[in-house]
Amino acid sequence: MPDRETATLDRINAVTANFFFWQGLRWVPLGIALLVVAWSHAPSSPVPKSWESPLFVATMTMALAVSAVVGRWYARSFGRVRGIPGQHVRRTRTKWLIVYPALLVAAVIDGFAKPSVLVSGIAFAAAIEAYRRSTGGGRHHYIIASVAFAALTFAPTLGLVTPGASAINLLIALLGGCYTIGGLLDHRELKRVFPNVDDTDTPRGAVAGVGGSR
Amino acid sequence: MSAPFERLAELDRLVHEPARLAIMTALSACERADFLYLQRLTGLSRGNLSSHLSKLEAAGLIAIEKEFVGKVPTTRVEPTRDGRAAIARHWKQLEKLRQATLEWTPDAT
Repeated sequence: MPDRETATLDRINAVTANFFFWQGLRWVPLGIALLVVAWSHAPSSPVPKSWESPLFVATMTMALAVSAVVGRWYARSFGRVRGIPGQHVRRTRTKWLIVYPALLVAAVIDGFAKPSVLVSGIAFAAAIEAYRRSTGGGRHHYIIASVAFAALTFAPTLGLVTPGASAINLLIALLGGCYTIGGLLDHRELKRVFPNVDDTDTPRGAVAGVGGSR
Repeated sequence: MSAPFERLAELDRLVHEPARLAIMTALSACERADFLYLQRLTGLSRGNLSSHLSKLEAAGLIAIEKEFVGKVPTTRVEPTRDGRAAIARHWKQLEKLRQATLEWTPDAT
């Protein structure tokens, strides 16, 4: 079997095992919400201080509601998959025991100690790469996102942003951009994996990249 | 040692057929999937996909369950234990075959 066909089947396996994470449009509302939150907290923002918390709650609630609607659209358009129970135990454990605590510790360090490097930048860079690898690989745009976060680590050192709240706000904005653009590109990748359905019953079907049907 | 291409005959043709291999590969990665997902993933028409699923069901490699989600009829497809074993065995055979092909030289036969 040619390597190209093996690669296609590997991709089919990876997408099926991680179907939820490849439904990129689900993440776009959350990305936009984070961008709104970052904008409302920016020093130049016209949003009054007293409005920041209600705006945060409202945008996040709306993002979750829209994301749920998008999830139902994916189910109607692409079908449903139920994962194997316990299939991703290692990923779940790593996420809750290592990744999330590391991101939290990094945010606390950046928020309170205000070091001259943004520790969260490198923490998010590692987390994004771990996410990409553990959810089926591919999607090279996440490598670019990782590099962007790693570069952000040195933004306070280079004087591009002041350490503390401003630096964290920039991080939230980049995260929002990452969710938005990454989600759109994930959706594009998903559409590439799923060929157009030819619903005329011919003797030959079309499994994308895996030859014809006999 | 037989030439690698002679081992092709040992492959399970029911599973090795491209569309069915894609279906079984997808099903091996989940507990179950619905008809629409498999149709979108393979790009097959309803008729072709039904035909392939019938063959796999007749061989005992998958179980098909029809039910209503609200008012919408849904077909759910689940690999059986034999089905999971068959696709795992098939991939192992393909990998061995690939390895043998890489190492094979005409003089070695």
